[in-house]
Amino acid sequence: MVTTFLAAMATTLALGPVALAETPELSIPFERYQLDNGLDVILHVDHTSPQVVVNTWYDVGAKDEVLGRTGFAHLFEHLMFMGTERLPDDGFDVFMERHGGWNNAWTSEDATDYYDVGPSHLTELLLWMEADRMDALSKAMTQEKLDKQRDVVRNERRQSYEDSPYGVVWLAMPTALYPVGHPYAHSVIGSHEDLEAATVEDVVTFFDTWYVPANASLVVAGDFDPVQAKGWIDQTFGQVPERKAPERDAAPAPVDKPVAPLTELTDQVQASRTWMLWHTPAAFADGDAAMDVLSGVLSDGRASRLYARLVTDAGAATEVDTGQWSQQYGSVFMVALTPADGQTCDAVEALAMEELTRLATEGPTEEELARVKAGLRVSFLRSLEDVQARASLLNRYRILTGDPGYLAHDLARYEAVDASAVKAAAASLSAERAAILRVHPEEEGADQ
Amino acid sequence: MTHMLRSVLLMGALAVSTGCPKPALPPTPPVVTADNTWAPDAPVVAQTVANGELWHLHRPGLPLVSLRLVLPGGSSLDPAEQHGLTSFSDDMLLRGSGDMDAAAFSAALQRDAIDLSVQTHRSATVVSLDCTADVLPAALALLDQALTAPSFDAAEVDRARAQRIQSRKDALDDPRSVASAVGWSWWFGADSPYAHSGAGTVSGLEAIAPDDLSASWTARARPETARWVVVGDADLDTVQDLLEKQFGDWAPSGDAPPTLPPPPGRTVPHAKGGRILVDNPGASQTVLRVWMPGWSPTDPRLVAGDLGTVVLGGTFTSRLNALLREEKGYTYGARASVVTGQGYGAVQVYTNVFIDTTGDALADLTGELKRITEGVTEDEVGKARASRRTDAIEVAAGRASTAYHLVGLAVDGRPADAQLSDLRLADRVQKSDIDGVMATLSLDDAMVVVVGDLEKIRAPVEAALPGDWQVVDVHGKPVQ
Repeated sequence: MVTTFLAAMATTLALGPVALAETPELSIPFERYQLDNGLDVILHVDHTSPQVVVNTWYDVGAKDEVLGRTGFAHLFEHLMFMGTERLPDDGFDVFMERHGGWNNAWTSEDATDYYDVGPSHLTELLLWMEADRMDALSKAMTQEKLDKQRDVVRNERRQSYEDSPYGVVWLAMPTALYPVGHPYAHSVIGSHEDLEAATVEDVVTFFDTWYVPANASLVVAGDFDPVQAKGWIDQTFGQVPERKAPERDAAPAPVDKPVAPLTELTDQVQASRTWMLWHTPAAFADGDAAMDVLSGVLSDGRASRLYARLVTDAGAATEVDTGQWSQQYGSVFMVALTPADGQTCDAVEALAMEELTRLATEGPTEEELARVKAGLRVSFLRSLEDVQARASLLNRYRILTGDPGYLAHDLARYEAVDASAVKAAAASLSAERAAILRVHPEEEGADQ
Repeated sequence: MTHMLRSVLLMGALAVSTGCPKPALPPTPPVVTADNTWAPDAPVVAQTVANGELWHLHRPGLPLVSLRLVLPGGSSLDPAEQHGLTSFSDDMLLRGSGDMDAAAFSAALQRDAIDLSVQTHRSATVVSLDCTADVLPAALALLDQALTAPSFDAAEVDRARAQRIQSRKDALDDPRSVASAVGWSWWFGADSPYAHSGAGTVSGLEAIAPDDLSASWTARARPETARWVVVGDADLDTVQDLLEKQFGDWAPSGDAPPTLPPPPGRTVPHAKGGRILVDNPGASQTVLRVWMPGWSPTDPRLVAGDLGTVVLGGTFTSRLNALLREEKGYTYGARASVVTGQGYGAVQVYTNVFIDTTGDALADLTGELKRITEGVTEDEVGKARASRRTDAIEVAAGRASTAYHLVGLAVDGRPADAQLSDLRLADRVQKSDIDGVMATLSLDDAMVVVVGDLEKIRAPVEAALPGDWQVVDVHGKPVQ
């Protein structure tokens, strides 16, 4: 191991004038360095609670899957818990839990994140276990392990999508939004057919390609001695051989319009519901923060634009929801509407478009902007209370911006959103750029 | 768009970088030396407004405060023809008060980034307020307004009713929600005031008038019965001063507090030995839920029973998940947990399994329920203890999570320092204590609820667990 750059750093978040005027500053202090094998290491010490988090992000997600292997990045995530030669079978979970630790992981279109949590005295153990599987997971891979986790993942698909009310819409969104061949043109969970096609050879190739130190970022956060931790990191992650960093295709060109403007689906539900989707700027790109602020103006609270118009004034909908899903190769903005009894999807979509047009013309009021920004500031503050969230945030910033200390910039980009930016954001959500997905009760069919 | 959840020294380091041969990763995990000296802080218990009780924990650092107000009552007060009344009434507190309509009140909260919500339990209503310390006085003023001058505006009532009915319909679309609601109904017995879902029924919600809502709230809004829980960046003196200043003149408007139904006193299912099927045509999975007998919150066996339940299904490597998910691949996950409320307690087991494996999965699940009555291992006891200690550390690390935990104790009728005493007791509990408690669990006493495509699963279910299986509808009512 060698410390190649950046000594101790701290990022400071100067909070805005509303609500937090008495707060001098907030920060996620950290130290960052890189090992010889290319692994980024970020240490964040906080002794306020006797717990530690080891969070490892790999810069690989569903976007990196090959044709015919949809769902593989997530399936692989499950296989990471199936044991190594040094800690075989279910040893990863059993050993960790025996000492009061626990773990979990998630996979998105862009990344895969593994986190181990436990009392402070587990720091060395958690580091060894994560390094062990980064070093040699694939050497112990077997057909039996693959088959077992394939069954588990297929059950996850059934539970989370097939038998979950309105779950079909999430499976249909990627194909409605992206052209065939685009990295986001399939769901993270994948198809049963592709999951069944996965082989042990696929697992080994995926590990060798993506699960290399130079494609990962390690955060150790919480109650530990940084000098001691560096020693342990050297003895564990420092011993993982350098492997060739993955070569990626160039980022795809931004997508402007959906593939399918209207998709009608049915499900075992009692009420119709509609989702309106638009392609929007990528995570941390210009315009991304404005979309979050726009979402707040549209649907946060009973004074929000869509709630006031569709629910309170018109009585046309019972629920409205909006959100910006920020992603590396381009984001998606969502408006979800539940028509009231006797109302149609068409009618509530039209009302929503009217409100978007009005907002694009008139812009938000200063009062609306101030309310939304106050909420965003405090949500930042709340996220900093939890050491697990801080560990994940450091890695998210590291992977998506290259700078773990991006926190201050992140808040600043929200503070910089003004009325004109929100107007522009609303104006980009035009009817001709929308993908609409409706889910109807099975007995009614797709005719509403 | 989607996140699939899975379930030395610096000098030494520099020397490595200069070309010294690298040792390999150590072949075995490092030895762990446990440090179990940490203990949670117990809240200070003090008197506050109108002799109500205050549980307070000062947590400086981040300028955040979490306040909870616990009022006795809850959905057990719902009249038989108006299921959902208490929860509906509680919801209206956030939908306009004083001279503010619902939108104005919502905007006033947002202006200072104040989170205000209400949760209706079976035996209590909990009002939750989370804010930054500097706006606590303003937040309390808005809370005061909501509690003492709710509008119950007729148009807003209709809007809320439509939303709540939609939510009830959504719940009936979800097989897991159906299994839970049907199960609890049969656990308490249909005639029990604790049996129904606090969110109510479509017919119950339709039968509620604005006057019913205001009468429900007026009867329960009594400061002398309240318990306040405050955790965060505000010391005891400050909190007491602020509460007294804001709520000192809060007087109950009714003559007397409502008569609460007696606690259910139930630790064995009303439908003891019940075997219940609910049809869900076309489902690709079957929901399996089991209610075993449990322990009430004041039962001295609760801690041992909880540790035994952790062994059964409280963590990823617990017996149920290890067998049904990791070994057999029947499911995405299988868990068990102790559920308590004032005067009742149950061990609940839950999993969703692939339809083609329903019979095998039910046989394996019930096999584990029998096996746990035969005892646990010392290794499992140690793991359960360590797991509960980690849980306590994580709860204590957050202001809102600490407040949430304390509210659970308050609603269950337990003392403020119960977390500390439970943790100490868990350290003393022996394997023999756990074995003794788990040995009392009998599958014959348990209630099993299965929701799935009956045409395909009925035969394998009945073969896996012979018994008097009864088919009920999504409301829990028997069907021919």
